[in-house]
Amino acid sequence: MFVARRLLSAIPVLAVVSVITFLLMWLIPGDISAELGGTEATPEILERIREQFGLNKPILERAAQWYGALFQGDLGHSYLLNRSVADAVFERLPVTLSLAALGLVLASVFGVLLGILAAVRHNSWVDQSSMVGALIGLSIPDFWFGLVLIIVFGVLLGWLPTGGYVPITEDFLGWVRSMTLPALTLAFTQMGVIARMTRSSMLDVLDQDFIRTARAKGMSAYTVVFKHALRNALVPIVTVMGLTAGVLLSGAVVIESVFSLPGVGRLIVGSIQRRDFPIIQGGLLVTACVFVFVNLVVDILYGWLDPRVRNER
Amino acid sequence: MSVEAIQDDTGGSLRAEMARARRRRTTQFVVRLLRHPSFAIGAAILLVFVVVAVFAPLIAPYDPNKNSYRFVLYPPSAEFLFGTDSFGRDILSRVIYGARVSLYIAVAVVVLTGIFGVILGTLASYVRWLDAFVMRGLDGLMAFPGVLLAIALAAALGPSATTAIVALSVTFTPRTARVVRAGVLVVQGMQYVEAAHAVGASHLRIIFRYILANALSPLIVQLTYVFAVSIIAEAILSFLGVGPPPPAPSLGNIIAEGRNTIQEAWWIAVFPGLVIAVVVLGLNLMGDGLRDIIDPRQRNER
Repeated sequence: MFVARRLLSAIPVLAVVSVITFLLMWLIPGDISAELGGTEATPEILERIREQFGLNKPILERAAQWYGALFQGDLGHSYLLNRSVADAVFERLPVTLSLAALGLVLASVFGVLLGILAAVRHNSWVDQSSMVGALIGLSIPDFWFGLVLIIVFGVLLGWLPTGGYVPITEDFLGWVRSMTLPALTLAFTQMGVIARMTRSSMLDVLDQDFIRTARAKGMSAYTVVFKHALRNALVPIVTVMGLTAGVLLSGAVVIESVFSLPGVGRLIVGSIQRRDFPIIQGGLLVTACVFVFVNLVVDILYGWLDPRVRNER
Repeated sequence: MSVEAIQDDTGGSLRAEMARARRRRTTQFVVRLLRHPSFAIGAAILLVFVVVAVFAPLIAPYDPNKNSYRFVLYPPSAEFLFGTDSFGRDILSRVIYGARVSLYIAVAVVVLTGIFGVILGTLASYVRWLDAFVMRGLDGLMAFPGVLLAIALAAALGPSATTAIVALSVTFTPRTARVVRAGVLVVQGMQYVEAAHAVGASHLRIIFRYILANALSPLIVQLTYVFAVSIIAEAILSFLGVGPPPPAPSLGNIIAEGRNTIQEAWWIAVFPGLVIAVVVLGLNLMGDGLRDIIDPRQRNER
């Protein structure tokens, strides 16, 4: 029941997402066919371009066509790449997803550990400096931090490549090397958010009676902190991780441009310069769907971690 | 009749007394804010940033757009504190002028987000049948991760400062509206609101004088964060080429230009980003301080 209700609640969200994505096309000022045709295009060529991409049709007809195709998994055709949008986007999605996932893993591991440390040593210098560090991480623009890492590790030290991508299937070590800096960039800025939430959630739990009981029974500090406290502090932490996943997804889109990784983000950004709007639309729609899916998973995880959530309306 | 009479008798002095009390509370609030270390540090950083941006023409040592091929790619020195770029332009001057653009965009986004957030949030909670409708719309807008929607919007509308403002306002309004809605929902159920209804106060009067006046503090905290995020987001849009276009500097497009010469001139990309980081840190500190004082229960939550 709980899972079904959550699944159903995603439908109106996806509907609104698709409407917004479609309307994006309608916002473009001027005649896009003139841009596509270039300065030397004759009126006949322009007319053919409009015909080919349905630019001369009224908006409702275009909407009907777009939705009709969408339900068959067809995201339209690129203006310039001479291929379908779905192919272009899905081919690049794994790079974006693996980057965001790596970032999330790094941010979660270090964020949670830092948060626990700060909570256990509440008000000590560890607590204070880790919270100041978290705030600084939160304030640094991630793409700029990526550039700084490139300067330090790529240009000055020369330890890691300054950009470019090696597929994991070709050379695992090369892949790790090409993903290290981008993943660290993403993780660093989000680590602070997770650390802050872990700390406050752990502080709440560590204050409660059952923790005192557990300590009084003579359990080791490790068991108390990791088995008893962490499990009960996890719900808000998982929420923040879900939010972070979204931020990382959009962060990955930007970071790809910094490190020249061939993901959806770089595809979108490249298409902006080429005014290839079907690709922008498709990339936006797919990324939003991934985000909705991630949030759904987080919601369902919630119910699993805290059975009380399941019975709420 | 009696109510009128009492107001006539004592209204003048009572009103003056209440006004004095309100002023006293405001003063106390400001003093408490300024004594809060995070808020004070954050406010000081923001003040410096605003002063530098506003008085850019007086402070900048050089013309930010003047090419001079004698000084191409000079590293930081006493003459050029932040170095020069590949057109020989002084980076410090460009950063100072860029701060202007960033500040203008961020303030505009904060104002628009505040206005639309209040309108949508109040409508959603005050007009029952609109609630589900508005909230689903906002959920849909929030389903686009981070600044991705802003990037796409700016791409469709074409790069300019106005575009960036519109795109970022659309992106940040939903969460703000939710904050307002949550605040209004709480206040709406209070007895004094019911009392206002009972004595026949108009809806507009109730919304502005009774509800919003008491539901605004979370909004103020939220808007501090919107300010911070807007500065970063403007930089992202400019970096990706959909913000205010060069040659007029913005903090983001200086970084974008610096990226092309990153191998030989690190200073072009580093300094504007450092400025962003410090200002955003200041705003986050202010936001945390405000939240501590306005609502201590919410501490550590975002």
